[in-house]
Amino acid sequence: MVTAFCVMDPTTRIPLQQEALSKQARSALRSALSSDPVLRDQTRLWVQLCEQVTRSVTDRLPPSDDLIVVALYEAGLLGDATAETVSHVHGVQTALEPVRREHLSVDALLRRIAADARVFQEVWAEQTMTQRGAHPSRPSRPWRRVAPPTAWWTAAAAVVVLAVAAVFLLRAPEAHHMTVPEGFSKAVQLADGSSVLLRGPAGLSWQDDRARQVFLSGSGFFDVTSNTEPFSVTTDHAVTTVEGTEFGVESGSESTRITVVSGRVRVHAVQNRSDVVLGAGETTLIAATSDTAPDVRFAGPDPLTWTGLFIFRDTPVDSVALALERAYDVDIDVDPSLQSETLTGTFDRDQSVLDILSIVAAALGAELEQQGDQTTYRLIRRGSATG
Amino acid sequence: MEFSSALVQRAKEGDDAAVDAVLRGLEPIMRGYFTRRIGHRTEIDDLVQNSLIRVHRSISDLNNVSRLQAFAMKGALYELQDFYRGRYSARELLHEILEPFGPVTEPDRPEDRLDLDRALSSLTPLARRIIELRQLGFKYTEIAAEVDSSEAAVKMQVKRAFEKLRNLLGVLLLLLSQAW
Repeated sequence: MVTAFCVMDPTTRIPLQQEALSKQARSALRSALSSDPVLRDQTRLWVQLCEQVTRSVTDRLPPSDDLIVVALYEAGLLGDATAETVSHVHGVQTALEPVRREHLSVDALLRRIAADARVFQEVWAEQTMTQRGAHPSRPSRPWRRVAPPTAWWTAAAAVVVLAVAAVFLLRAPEAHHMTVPEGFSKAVQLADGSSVLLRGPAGLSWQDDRARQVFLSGSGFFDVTSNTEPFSVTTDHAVTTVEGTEFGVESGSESTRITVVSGRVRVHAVQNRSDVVLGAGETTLIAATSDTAPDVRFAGPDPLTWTGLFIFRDTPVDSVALALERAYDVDIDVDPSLQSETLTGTFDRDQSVLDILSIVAAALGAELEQQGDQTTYRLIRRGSATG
Repeated sequence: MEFSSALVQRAKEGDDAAVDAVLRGLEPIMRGYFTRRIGHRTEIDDLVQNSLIRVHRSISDLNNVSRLQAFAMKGALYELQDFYRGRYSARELLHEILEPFGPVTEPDRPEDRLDLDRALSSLTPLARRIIELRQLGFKYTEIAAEVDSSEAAVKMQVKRAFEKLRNLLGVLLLLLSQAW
């Protein structure tokens, strides 16, 4: 019997002060009520008391629609209301006045409606701005070596997008939810400096006080800053935890795939409660219904095509060329003296192959030659003779 | 997705494709709004759907097609008020648990009615206001801000109100003997 009461107030024995009841608390209370008729009567009376108090207010309130209009009017949020509407509001106000005098909670109710309305206006502004973005925006990283002017333009555009996202974050102190419609992309920068590229349809949610715990539906590519606090991405099927890395998460109704570009991540499968650790270039598929531990597999070449990005991390130049050849159906000849070089960078697949190769050449300190048919390119070491 | 006046006008006139486009455009806005307002809760889907249904059912009554935002906002606000009222009420916390032992209704017996009236009259104005706010869906932290007090002090008020009620029932000693 005592065990059943441990989750509740030991003197009142019913959960008067909790915001919600856990399953365990519900079970304990039900058990206590079934064995104690006095407690049952006492609890029943408390519920009746609370409901009586509520009715003493709510029975005298106008319908919710009218209450909302009054709240908006008093907060100056009703806009260009018609004379008829204003007259209606004045009528409701007059009827409400004695109730407000007796019950101060009514004023609190009206203030809360006004606060709710302001948040709606903020979210509307944010979301319609997101939806109007006709051109997908993606984060970009400069090459490790020399970044030519074209890369700076790309980087500057990304900075603008991320700055806009940061402004939104500052405006909203509570929970955040970002939705990206199908066919759109959006770069989101989180408070800890991590960034996410969402590929619609996708949604990302997080809260200010837990900025490194995000919830994802759909697909996102994460670039996570190093931090002593782990960063986690939760989908319906998997929880991916990292300290600092880059990885892609594709979640659908049946499964979630996690692919790591750099660093290491730990993936927890929700269904069978097993964990796997993935390193760079590795991938795993967490199925909604699987009872077995997930496999770790080699991700293969270019596993994150869905991000709309080319993501190269210490990638040999000939592998970079191969990825571009496949994507653009061109031939790229790399001078043997450059093939052992490695490159790190991120490119938008909407860029032309010529733009990307120009940046690659600049980063390598190489020269780019293009043949007349515009399908054959050659990267040569600067100063080498051309044939 | 842009809510052009032409699109909203066509939706208002009953063009199914336009109605569909408007609702699809509103869905992420509603979802983002409710998530920001109440956090990640299972009720979000219902709130979004109910808000969209309200828009769907009444869009033909929209007087000014340029005011879709205000129109949609009122629908969302309406649903949110309903959610608040059910959120932390004693109904949600205790009603369901008491259900197997018989419905919680108005007291039938005169002596029970008397108990309730006595309990109500024993509440201090502050305790009554706190219970009102609680029943209207305010969190304890929000109530504390409303009554210019601390969350702990607010909770203590609730506890004292309950203890008064218990004393009125005259079962204090019995309860204590069972609890300890």
